[in-house]
Amino acid sequence: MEIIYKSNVLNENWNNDIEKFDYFLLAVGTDLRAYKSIFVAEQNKIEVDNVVLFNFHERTESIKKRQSIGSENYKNLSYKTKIYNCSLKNPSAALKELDIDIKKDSQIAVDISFFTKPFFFTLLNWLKTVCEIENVTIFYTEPKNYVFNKGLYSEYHSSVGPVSIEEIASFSGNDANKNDSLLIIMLGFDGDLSAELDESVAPKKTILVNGFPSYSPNFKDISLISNEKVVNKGGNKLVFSRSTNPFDTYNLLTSIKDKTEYKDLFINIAPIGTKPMALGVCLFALHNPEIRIIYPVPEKFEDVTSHDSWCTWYYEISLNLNS
Amino acid sequence: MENTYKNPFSEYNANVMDNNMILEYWSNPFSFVEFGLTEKEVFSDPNPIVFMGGRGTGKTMFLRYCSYDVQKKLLSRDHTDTTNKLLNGAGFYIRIDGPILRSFEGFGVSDEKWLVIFTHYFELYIARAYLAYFHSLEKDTKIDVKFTKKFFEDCSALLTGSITSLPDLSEMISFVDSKITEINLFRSQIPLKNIEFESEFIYNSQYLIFGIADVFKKNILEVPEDFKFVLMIDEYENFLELQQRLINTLLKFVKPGITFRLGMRLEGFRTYDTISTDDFIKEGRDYRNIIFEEYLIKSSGYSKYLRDIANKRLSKIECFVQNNLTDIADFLGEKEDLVLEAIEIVGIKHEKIFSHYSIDNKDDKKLLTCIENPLLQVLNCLWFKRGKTSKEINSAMKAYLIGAADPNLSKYKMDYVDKYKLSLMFIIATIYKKDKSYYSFNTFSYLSSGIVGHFIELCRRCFQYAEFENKKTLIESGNIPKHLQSNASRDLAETELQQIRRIEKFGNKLYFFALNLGDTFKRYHRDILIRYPETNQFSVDKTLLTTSTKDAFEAAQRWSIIQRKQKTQQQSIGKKKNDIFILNRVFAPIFQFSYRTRGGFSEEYNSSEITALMEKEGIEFRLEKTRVKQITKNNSQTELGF
Repeated sequence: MEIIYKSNVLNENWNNDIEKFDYFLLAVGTDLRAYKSIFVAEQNKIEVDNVVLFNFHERTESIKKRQSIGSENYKNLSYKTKIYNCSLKNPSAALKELDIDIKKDSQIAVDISFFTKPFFFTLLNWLKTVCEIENVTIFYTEPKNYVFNKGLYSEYHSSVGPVSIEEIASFSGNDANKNDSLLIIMLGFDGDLSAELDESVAPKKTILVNGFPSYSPNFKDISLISNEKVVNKGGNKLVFSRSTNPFDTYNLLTSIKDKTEYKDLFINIAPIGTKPMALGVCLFALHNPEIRIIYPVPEKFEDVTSHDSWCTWYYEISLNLNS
Repeated sequence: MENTYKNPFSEYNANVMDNNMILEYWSNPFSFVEFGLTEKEVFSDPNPIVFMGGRGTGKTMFLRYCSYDVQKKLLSRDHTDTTNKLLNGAGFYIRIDGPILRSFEGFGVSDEKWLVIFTHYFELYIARAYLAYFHSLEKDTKIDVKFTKKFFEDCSALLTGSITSLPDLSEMISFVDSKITEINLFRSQIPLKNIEFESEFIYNSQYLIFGIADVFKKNILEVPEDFKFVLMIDEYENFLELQQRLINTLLKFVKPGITFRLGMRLEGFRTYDTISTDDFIKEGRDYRNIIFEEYLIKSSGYSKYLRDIANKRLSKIECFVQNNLTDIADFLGEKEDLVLEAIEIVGIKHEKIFSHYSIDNKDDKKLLTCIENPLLQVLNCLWFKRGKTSKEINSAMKAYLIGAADPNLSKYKMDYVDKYKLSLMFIIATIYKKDKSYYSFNTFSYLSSGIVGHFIELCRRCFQYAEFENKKTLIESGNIPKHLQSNASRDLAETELQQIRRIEKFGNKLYFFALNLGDTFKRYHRDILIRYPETNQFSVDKTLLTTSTKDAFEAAQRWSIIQRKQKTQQQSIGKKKNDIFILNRVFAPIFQFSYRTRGGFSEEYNSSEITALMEKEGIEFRLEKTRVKQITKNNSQTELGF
């Protein structure tokens, strides 16, 4: 079933119907992009009762170093703010220990710009399962550009050093009555990862999703070149989904799941593409708990993978399919 | 005809091949390589066997080929009459992926509890494989197997305690699925909230794995006396320590009619312990260990095996069959042509070689020059530096070239053909600041370093580059130019080197280890006096390594960054015997070292030196340690500067 969605670019006058939030959750980041949505809310006197800032100790050093470009500007917020110090590596422990009492009917906003994908996946599932929240407003501020250390067509890595392919906490899915797997990879620029994922899951069929249209016209091709090994592998299928629209990804995944040929397969999805695509994957997985989400979890995420900010998007999402 | 083209090597991973593809691409390693056991023993040996090897050595292909599903297809493809016949056993290919295995730890649940849950899961997982097999036998009209009432009753009793609750196999499978679902649900919820795992039945180790097999053998009349359940567990290195202890216990206490085959990386045992605290498994006593890579590297049949693998793939591509291009050597060439390569690099600038050897005398230079073969000219310079006169050398060279007699001919020929030819090529590449090329089937066989997957990947890249450059030529003539082959080998080397950093544990240490070893060996290959030709191995006494270094060192072995030579060797003449390791030859194109391993001299390292090589700073240590020193006027040592 496809969903009807609400997705828009936030302007400086807060063109959003929701003007009061009980909780606004966001992550401390390495530049102003992390706080763009909450600052627009503040400027427009939007009522926010509690701001919860996840402060990941893995980022402490680089945030200190980047003070001059606003990495610590959250300190100027006028809202009641709780700084929650925790580890990026263990979202489960962080959320289990989070000492806030979010009521079922709370109005929640989450800015995912500086959460890692595994973290915000588990966070949204926690809001759904533990707090029983039905609807959430998601904000996401696009980066202006990505960092390609070794040139545009060579290498981009969102992580450094060792990676371990893991199930994202709370997204194990259920393979009980399935003999074979389907792997859907949201392609990013990091080509080694897609081959690793393919090998780790050993699926019967692999579908590659390229972000198109992409943020920038050449990103689509960079992604295909970087991922040539899996793209050229016999039997793999390449499809496209808009890189800026989570609901487009959601609908694509729905159409794949509904195909008869994939009905008996255990669906695995690896959201290594853009964050909006990952949000679409997350939403799809929340609505279809039998699918599994896997992710190449790095020992260390790169401190800085993007520059400056572009548009801030907001999306209204329902954590439950029937809400 | 172009429409029938497909890269013959695009299917590179046995994990993801379906059963038909496994059969299509299967090349029997037993036909080419001596493994220390027979093909029959793989199935019939009642003792567990462990197959070790790096990624891509063919373990998965091998285990999957032995599985019941593929064997059944094989019989039907070869029109063997399976009517009324049960095979003498059934091989079950078991692979639980790493992400699932790793989800059975943490989240505030104690190790003891996780062990109980995983044991339950593993019992159910194997039980399901058994039941699916029985179900396929039941449905197979060609095989006359009668599943008796007693069989169903006993199975039902094992699963639920009641002989009537699960009357048929479909119900049993659904029941097992529902129990696995309970575990999956728990795995999904435990990261979010602290809950206890609950289930009506929780199975102990061996209860279903041995129990169901026993019920089958006891209650089905058609089962032959020597029928075996062979559980082939792949990627054992992914099992967590606690999980390995559980399976090690099964290995130790195998029952008649059930046995195990484990596929794993080198050093893939995280532990040899069993569940019992005072017991462990031991090679020889509890299992046989076959190290794929070691047999493949040393075997003279390895290149024939690779050729068979490649040719099977080529013969599936219609346009190649039509053009009679079904031998991989048609595309890559059989062997490299070192003389031609040297001529292409040197061109007309022969003088440069003399200047590097500081040979100034015109008469000497005239006698030592060899226009038609620059390799010989370098050899002549080497001999000259070692004290032979230019006249003697010229005479030996002429004798070699025209087949005349000379007192030094035999030594000259041996030095050139058997000893130094490849080293001379490296010296030329060094003098002229060019990279040596890596091409030809023979070179690729060596570069793959006993890892079939590397060979397939080298070929895949070659075909991909050749298709991009000129698809028509590729299809019609088959020839893949050597620069494309060399690009492919270099690109693979770069990819493999970069991938090291991604290794889950010790990634950065292993990266520096490979980098420092590679740079060390590169240095030997640049020594224009060729004192230690083609040195690309080192010796170390692993028992003396500190715990953390040993763990990292074993990870290097597990990922085939380094490879142990099968027999211990003397580090050099007169020294004690130690384990000898080579840096995986797939890295050779980056560091410009030899693609083959000659033996002879090895670098010798102690524990602190190995530790140093795993650090970024190891580079400084390496320069100090290496026996080939920088060139200086006073000591007249003659290694070229970097």
